Amino acid sequence: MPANERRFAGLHRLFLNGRPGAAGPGGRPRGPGPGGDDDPCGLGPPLSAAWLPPGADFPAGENDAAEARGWRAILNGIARMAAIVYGSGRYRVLVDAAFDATGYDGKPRRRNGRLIVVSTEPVRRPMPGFSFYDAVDAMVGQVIHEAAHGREGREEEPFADDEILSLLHHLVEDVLNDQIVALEYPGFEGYLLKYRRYFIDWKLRGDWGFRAEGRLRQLVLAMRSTYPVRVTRRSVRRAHLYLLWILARHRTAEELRRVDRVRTAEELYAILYDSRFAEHTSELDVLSESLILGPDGPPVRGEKGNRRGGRNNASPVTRAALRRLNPPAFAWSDRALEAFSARRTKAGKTRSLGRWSGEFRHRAHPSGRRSAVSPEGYRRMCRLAEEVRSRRVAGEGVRYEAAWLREAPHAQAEARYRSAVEAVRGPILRLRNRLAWVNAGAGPDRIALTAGELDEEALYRAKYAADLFRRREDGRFRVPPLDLVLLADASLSMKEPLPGGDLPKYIVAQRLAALFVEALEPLAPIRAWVFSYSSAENRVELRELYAPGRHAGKTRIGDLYPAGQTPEYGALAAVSRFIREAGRPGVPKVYIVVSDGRPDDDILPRDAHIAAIRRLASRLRAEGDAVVHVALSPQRFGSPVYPVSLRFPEEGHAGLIRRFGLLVEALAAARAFRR
Amino acid sequence: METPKGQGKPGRGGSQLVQRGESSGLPGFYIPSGTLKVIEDFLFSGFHVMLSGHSGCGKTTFGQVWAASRGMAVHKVNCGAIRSPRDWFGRHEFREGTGTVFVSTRFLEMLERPGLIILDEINRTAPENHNPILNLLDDNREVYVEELGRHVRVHPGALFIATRNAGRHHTGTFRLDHALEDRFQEVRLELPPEDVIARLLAEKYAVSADQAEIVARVTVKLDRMYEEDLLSQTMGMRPAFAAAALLGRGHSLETALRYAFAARYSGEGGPESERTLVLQTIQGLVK
Repeated sequence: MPANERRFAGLHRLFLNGRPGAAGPGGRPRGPGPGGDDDPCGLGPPLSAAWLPPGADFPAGENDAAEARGWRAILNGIARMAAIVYGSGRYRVLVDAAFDATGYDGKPRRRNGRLIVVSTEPVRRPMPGFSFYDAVDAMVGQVIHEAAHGREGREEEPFADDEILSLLHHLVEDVLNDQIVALEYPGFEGYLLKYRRYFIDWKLRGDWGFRAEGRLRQLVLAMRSTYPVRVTRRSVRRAHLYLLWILARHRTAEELRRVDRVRTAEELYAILYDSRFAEHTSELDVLSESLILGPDGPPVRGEKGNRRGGRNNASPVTRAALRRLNPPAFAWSDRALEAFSARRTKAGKTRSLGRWSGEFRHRAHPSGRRSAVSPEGYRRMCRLAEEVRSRRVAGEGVRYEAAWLREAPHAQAEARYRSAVEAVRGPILRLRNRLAWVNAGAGPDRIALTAGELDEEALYRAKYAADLFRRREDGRFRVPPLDLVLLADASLSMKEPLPGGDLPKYIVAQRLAALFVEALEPLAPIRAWVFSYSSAENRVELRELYAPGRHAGKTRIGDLYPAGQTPEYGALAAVSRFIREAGRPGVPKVYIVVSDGRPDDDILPRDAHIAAIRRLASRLRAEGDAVVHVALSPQRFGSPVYPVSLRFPEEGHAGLIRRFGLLVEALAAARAFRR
Repeated sequence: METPKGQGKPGRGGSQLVQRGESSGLPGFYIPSGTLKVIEDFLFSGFHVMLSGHSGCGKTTFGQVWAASRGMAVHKVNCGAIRSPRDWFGRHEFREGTGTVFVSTRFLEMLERPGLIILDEINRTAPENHNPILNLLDDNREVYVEELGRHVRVHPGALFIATRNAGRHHTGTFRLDHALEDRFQEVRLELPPEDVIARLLAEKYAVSADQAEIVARVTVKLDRMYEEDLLSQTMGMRPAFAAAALLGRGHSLETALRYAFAARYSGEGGPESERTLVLQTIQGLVK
């Protein structure tokens, strides 16, 4: 095999999540993959079997002295692997407390050496299919990985005050160090993969992975996981390919050592967060994973149809190539990067962006980064981008093609809907009662209020009320007729958890829809619709989840599931046109838009999109209708898109449900509703 | 008779013979040109040179190759065989018809001729045996030989190179007298670089370039680990030759490396033994 192909095959194996069946470590074919009998882990035969005593197994008890000696010897054998990579006397390996009983002391050769702490978790809690040797392999991989960090890492810790950049820098270091080790010690590659199989695929994905910021999480998993990772964002895919391209371009360990890791982390940051308009552009479809990874490298073809990594006639993925594809975005990001670097150099450190894992999770790009260019520059950039994009679409006109879908409910839709109803049963009952009292003009008298809240209804019902108040002439019902429409965002970002918890946002949207439908169902004057919206390419897909009348199938709410982008303007425009036809004439309409962020799709630039929504909302308001936005995430920057918005409460899920109930009550009772 | 490729044995233990003179310009031997120049300058300035370095790094071979390249006569004295001080100069033999006669050594003859004398493994004979040559190696450059009844003067063109293996692992050695040690300028020879070792192996044995490269990489890595005090034994060229010989005879890479390298180290201690460490290192370097 020519050197180029060998190198690319190695790269493919290490960083393109080589699937089971592709060549494994040591050129051995991998086994049948997870679940298979011969090789449940899909990473080839265990490597530590070459030097561990035959028949070694997990310890039966911890008090046996002979067993402790045996373990101590094994731990010393594992720890000394660091010396092969790192050299003697520069480190001290410690294991976690669970193995204190073995008497292992790490054999410190130098007290002030680097401390490498090794987790014995793979042995104590092996993942399914892990043999004793596999667990030892994972520990050895951890030792080698940390030793490589010790040897290749720098003393200073850049980006200490910026978690995203710090994590990106750490990712770059991980990737480069693993590649260096794989080049210098190709036989250790299997240990590294086994380590990643346990700590990334088994542990990180479950414990940590879903709490990270979305793009970052995808990038980390794409680079570090040994299982295939579905990358849904183009910015992540570009960052992934850019990192792979750096690895492919630097062929030797020395070249890899010369890679500026800080700069690379900043570039990744720019690709992930600063190239705002490049995120959803159809031109970048060519940036698929089938792009070639180097200027002169051969295509890499994995087995079983895994062709990621190579195509003959593609060009290398560089920032220059990306810049050609979308000049405005990259002109902006380049300037931002330069300004940011200059500021870092001047200030000596980056600005603190605070914690990002919660409230910053959904920003298009971190707000602190926005000030990397001057406000004037930023506005000019926005104008430029909008002009460029608008000119492109102007010839065809901004036209959304709406597709109305009323699909048969999925077999499990009812169960999912019931689950959503159960989750908000208390608020539903409370809201039903309140609306019933409002509707009937009756209800329990609450005289002794302790909270200081004025119970207006009780005052009206008091014996002396007639002397004090003039009753409103509201006819038979107090609840006025109203057409209410709930429009739920079903874009991919709704898969992410609601801030402050682990519950996915689309589940929360299901619960809001359930509360909306169940609470309003008994009120005859009110007609309610529920739609979800997403996009497929340039088409807005509107799914009818609930509608009054003969199509009133509530269970379809259980089918709300995220996919695509957020064509909010197109959806709102299409629904308002529909309701104008389907709704009752002369009855005011209220559109409640439940979404998790700012609108975004492939048709309009974001700023143009927001402006279009504002124009539409103003028009609807002028017609006597109203648009209310319910945010599923905090808004961190920019002015609100909608004139009336229910901001994301600090209490999280519970507060959201409570405030949404109050909103529905206010709308239905026409109490807080101001047209 | 030429030894068939792949079945040859390393004629001179740890020699670093290569086909062409490398950076040193010395035909058939690799030595950095700077080191060679220092050795030559020492020798031509009247100093004696003590070559040290790991076993199998080519100390003895260097003297022979260098002398041959200069067209000089060369004589190697096996110092380990010197049992008494008089053994340097000759021995008494009984010959029929003549009776007991003194037969002088070739060393004695070489002293009075221009040429290179290699005092091989000079620290393998007891220190008292060095006394007769102390005067030869200092500025007097002469010694009185009783049996000959005259002073033997060292020819101005006679050069001395000594070799020694020093260290606690060389159990058959003695500590040199400081007076003797002081008469030599020590130069340390190192293992050749990986690519030179690989080329040497590929040329000498029927091994592929990839295999030779791996054996060379293992050799250099284990040598570095000895320097870092991770291993107790030095690493010269001999294990590399042994591994290449096994490979040339059709053994697998794993078998060749295991028997040529790992088997040299103690397996005491199981997973924390030196042998395990060597096996782990080999595992890391072999793809």
